[in-house]
Amino acid sequence: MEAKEMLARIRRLTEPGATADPALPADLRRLRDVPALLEAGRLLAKVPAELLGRLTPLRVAVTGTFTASGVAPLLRVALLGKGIAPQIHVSGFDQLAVDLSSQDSPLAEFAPQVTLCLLHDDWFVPRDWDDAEAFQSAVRGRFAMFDNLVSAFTGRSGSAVLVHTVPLSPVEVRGVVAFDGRAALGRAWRELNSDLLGMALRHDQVHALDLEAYLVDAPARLRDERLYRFASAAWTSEVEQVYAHEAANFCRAFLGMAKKVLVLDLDNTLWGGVVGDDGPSGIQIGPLYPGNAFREMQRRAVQLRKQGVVLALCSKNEASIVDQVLTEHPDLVIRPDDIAARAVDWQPKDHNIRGLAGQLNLGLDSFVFADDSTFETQLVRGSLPEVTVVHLDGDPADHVTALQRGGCFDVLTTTATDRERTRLYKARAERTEFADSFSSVQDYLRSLEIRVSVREADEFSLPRLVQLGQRTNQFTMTGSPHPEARTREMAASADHLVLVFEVADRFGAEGIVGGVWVSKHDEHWLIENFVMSCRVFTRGVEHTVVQHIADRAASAGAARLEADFVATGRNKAAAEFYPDAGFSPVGEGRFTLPVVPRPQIGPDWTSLVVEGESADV
Amino acid sequence: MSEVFTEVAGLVGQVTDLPAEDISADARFDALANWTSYDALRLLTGIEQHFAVRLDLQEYFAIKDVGGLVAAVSSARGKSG
Repeated sequence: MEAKEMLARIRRLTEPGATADPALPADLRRLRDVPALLEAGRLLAKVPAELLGRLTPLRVAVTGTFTASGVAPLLRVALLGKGIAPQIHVSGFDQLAVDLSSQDSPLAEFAPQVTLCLLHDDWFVPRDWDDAEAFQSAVRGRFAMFDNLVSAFTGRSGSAVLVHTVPLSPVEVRGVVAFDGRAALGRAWRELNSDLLGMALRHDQVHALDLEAYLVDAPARLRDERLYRFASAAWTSEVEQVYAHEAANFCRAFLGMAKKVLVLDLDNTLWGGVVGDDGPSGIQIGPLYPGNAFREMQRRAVQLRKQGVVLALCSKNEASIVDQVLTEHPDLVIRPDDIAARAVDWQPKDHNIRGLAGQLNLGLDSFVFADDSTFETQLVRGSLPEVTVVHLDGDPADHVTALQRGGCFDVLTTTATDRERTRLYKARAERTEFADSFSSVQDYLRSLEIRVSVREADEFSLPRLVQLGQRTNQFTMTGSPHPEARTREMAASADHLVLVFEVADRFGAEGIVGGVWVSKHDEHWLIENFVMSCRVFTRGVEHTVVQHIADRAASAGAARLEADFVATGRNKAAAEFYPDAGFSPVGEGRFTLPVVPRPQIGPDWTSLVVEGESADV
Repeated sequence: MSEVFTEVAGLVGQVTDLPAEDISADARFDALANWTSYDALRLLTGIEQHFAVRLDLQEYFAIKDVGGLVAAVSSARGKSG
């Protein structure tokens, strides 16, 4: 029995002097049995994080209006499965109002990065009510109070807050005998849930999880009346698990750890049958089962592509036949333009996926690989443990659910650049091929006609900049990106400068690829952080941008430019940059460069466009 | 020793982190190491899921020892079967 073995494996880690088990977090994803998950979570709370391999730390607080003792252990297992080592603070029963309003509550002292607010119906429902109108006005009042508590808390703490829609107990619904009355009650309740979801749209730091929508798919009773009356437990452990699973997806999105690439197999994944054997007209794809199940898979893959996920193919096939099917088959939804890179040949798939990562210049830890074959999924799981593997076994109609269930691609928001990402990566792959025909890199770069456009961050570019700050692991100068609130503050302040920049060349425009956070002082300007997408790395773009800042600082009367750098273990690409641009180190994590006389930093193959420059005072 | 006893002892062991072999039928819950009312609820949930039974909460809290719980489970199984 797998669950028993897993629990024994975890128990061994709780013993003194235990040997590290870095493979455990990924294996936890296979545990599904809720009682076993609960026990696993309780045991894992005692396991030192350093025994579990490389994980990203996160401080999560759980507060609520009821007792949800299972959420913390279940959340711990779900987060570890996603490569996150949580420190979890759990508040006592019904501490929500105190936690959110008091400056010295234990929760405030814990200083969470993410605060999960667990809500249950009776916190909103009035004790006595005679008609739907009275019910609605009382519920509205409670919501207003909750909304105020959350606003005040986010303003004060800087923590992100996750709220959720609240299911209404059937006891409440059946308490009303008139169908009309139930309809009015249901409507008032949905208004509350709509308002809860609306909080995410009104506050930058507040996010919402539509729990009611996920519960539709779960074979779970909302609550056990005995445990509700005895211990104020408003959710069964199955509901706690649904919540923990989705909340963990949120935390991963919050940390900018969403997966970026979906690598798809073809035969029996994107269509039924084997195209090499059955021929292009013999594959199963179209309006009838099972062809429609494969078509649904294609539709969902394209839907991901439209939201910024990069699609790639990895299939053992003849490239020419695949090409023919992709361009000519009338029933296909996915087309060549949807696909950023292909590895269609007879090489081993782990080798090919490594190649795709090189071609797209993205880390393997941002890859998801979906395949129907046990052989291929096992091979990739064993050989590339960083890659998330989705095994599409069983009925093809269930494949989409299997792919979506992990929430691998969940992000906090999508931007215009996300929607164009495939085109950007495709152009990049073409550029790599073009490079082969030049004798020197400089010749090649000169021929690209690179234009760098710099402008101050505004309402439109700011969300993209904040997202870049969070997602960028390689070319960044710090492990703690500026949060949205701070970025807004800096952008609005005369003593700071927040820049975004775009890059275009003869192959197309890349959109916003980076940004800089600068604080202006009399004698010097300080670059607090500088992030750039690795898509445009090694082209002199970063040098061009720093030249611009140096010029601006000098014009404003500063004598030198300073820059902060903190090594994170993953930003080696950025570590070389300041020394390379002529900066010299001064003390721990600080570089300096005189700007009088003007230094020459930018290369001769780029041109700079400054948009809407305002005077620096 | 009955099959129900072995399984109940296993669940009690899981909740208390004690080896199942050390749990006897006359072991009193309030004398077990680390025993709290919260553990009692964890055990209840575990027992109910494992045996697919539903116990009366007041009767459950009146049970003093492991043997009593085994009897309650057996009787609940008899009713549902």
